[in-house]
Amino acid sequence: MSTSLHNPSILLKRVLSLADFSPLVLAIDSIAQSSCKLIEEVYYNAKESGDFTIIYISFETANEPSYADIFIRAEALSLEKLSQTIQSYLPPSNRPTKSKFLVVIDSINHISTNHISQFVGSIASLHSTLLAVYHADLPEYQEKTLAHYPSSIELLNFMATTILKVQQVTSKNATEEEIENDLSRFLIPRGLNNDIFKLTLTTRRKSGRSQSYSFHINTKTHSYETIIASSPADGEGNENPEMLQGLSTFNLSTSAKQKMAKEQVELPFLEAQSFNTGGAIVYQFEKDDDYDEEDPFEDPF
Amino acid sequence: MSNVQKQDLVLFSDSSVISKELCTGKSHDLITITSSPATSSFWLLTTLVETRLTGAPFSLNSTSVPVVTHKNMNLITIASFIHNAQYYTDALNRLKLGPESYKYIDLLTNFVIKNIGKPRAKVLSELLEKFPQDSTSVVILEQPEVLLTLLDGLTSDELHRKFIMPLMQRCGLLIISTNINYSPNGQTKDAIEFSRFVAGCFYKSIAVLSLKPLDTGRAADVTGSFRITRGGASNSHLSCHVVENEYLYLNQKENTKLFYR
Repeated sequence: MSTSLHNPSILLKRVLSLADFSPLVLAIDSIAQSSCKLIEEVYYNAKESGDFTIIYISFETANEPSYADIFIRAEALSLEKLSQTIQSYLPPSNRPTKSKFLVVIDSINHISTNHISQFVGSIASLHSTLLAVYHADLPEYQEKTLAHYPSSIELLNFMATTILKVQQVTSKNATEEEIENDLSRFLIPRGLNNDIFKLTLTTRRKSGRSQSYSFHINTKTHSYETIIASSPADGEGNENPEMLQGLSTFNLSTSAKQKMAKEQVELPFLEAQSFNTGGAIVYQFEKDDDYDEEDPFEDPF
Repeated sequence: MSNVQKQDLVLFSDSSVISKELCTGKSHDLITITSSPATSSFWLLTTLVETRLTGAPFSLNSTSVPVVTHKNMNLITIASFIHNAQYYTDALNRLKLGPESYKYIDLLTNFVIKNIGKPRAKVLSELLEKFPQDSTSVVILEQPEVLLTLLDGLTSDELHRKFIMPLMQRCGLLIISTNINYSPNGQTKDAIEFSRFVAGCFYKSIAVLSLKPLDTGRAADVTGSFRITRGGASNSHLSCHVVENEYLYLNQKENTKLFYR
């Protein structure tokens, strides 16, 4: 494993430029921040890295994007016909080819839950990457006959090799709770669908291990800033003397000397944990113990 | 409030309400207006008609409206599921806009009688044929979500795919006015289809105009708030952008006044 893959920004660059093979890239968005800016960013990176043919499947885009090589209006096509049309532009998976294809679907919500896996399977191949946009806040009616079947997003999450979750950057004037409350009443707050947004990247390796990183994406300057999450455990360890001031007349803070003494205290049973076999009895003789050296059954070990 | 200076309505960064870039014949865009019975969108629709025909929303500022001289009915088409032709004619006559300057399509009168027993796809196709094919025109469509209850078994996705999207293709700018006064959190099939329809409009829109009552309740000098926000669609094909803003507005008998919030 190369060390570069541990750098989140480089990993994001590789994902956006489609440098690594990923049959299904799932982009999850909401009306607070739609993924159209993300798709434009993928195009910006992909065109730099190599020659891509972009097939754009439109369920809700009326204007043909400037970057689309092939634009297919899906609203009038049946699912079977749509699948056939897309496949007619893709090379057969058993024939080696140098050209790469990116199939973008602007809203995979329009494909019903019971057909979604078959549809994805028919497009994603060795030579093509499927970038499917899923609107997380588009309500979905679960048919009673499919009550025990996974929802579309569960199936897509399971199948996707890369997941890009797009979220709005909350402004200082509004909390996330206020924004969600407004959106649930179909009121769109100001400052959403911006050029700057938050992106959570989840990649899955062949081993099944997944990595997750968050970024701030600026689509104007094409700059990506990694968000380093502060874990709650870090905060607990750092004692802030100012927090303890004024709480009590007792001295609650600890000096450096006291901290060092605290760290040096040897906790009980630490010695027992060092035995590899586990469950060993640590016995130390004391002066009152009755121990007969000649009796073999007296051996406490 | 009467002493407060009134404000001009601006939707786009080129200081326009309907930007000239929108109806050039090269693009098809959508603007969604959300409203409730307490804050009807009718005044905004007539303002948009006036803007399209005269170039600016003169009536909002109570300035004299120039007389429209051209007779091109394809500039703007109004289609409604809740208001008949007379209702629009009366309102637009007050703005000195005669019926010869716009086209009105009555979608609701005798809808059930005309379409009973027909397949859904045929009904939607016939509705679509009533609209002119002109990618430089503006179409105002009032409350198309009514179709979800009028056509048995119609889903939000089918309505979008077979009516809204093809209608967008027929014109340069489609303006949909939709009512959001139903229980959006309900888990019934009807409630979900209504919510899905509105959310679907948001994703296709370059701008969303929301009319809502005041959170604090009724006020004598304010009818409600009017918010302009970006929608989910890409506007990279336009050189101008949506100017996000929020106004308070007051509906009076003859006109409407806007104030910055």
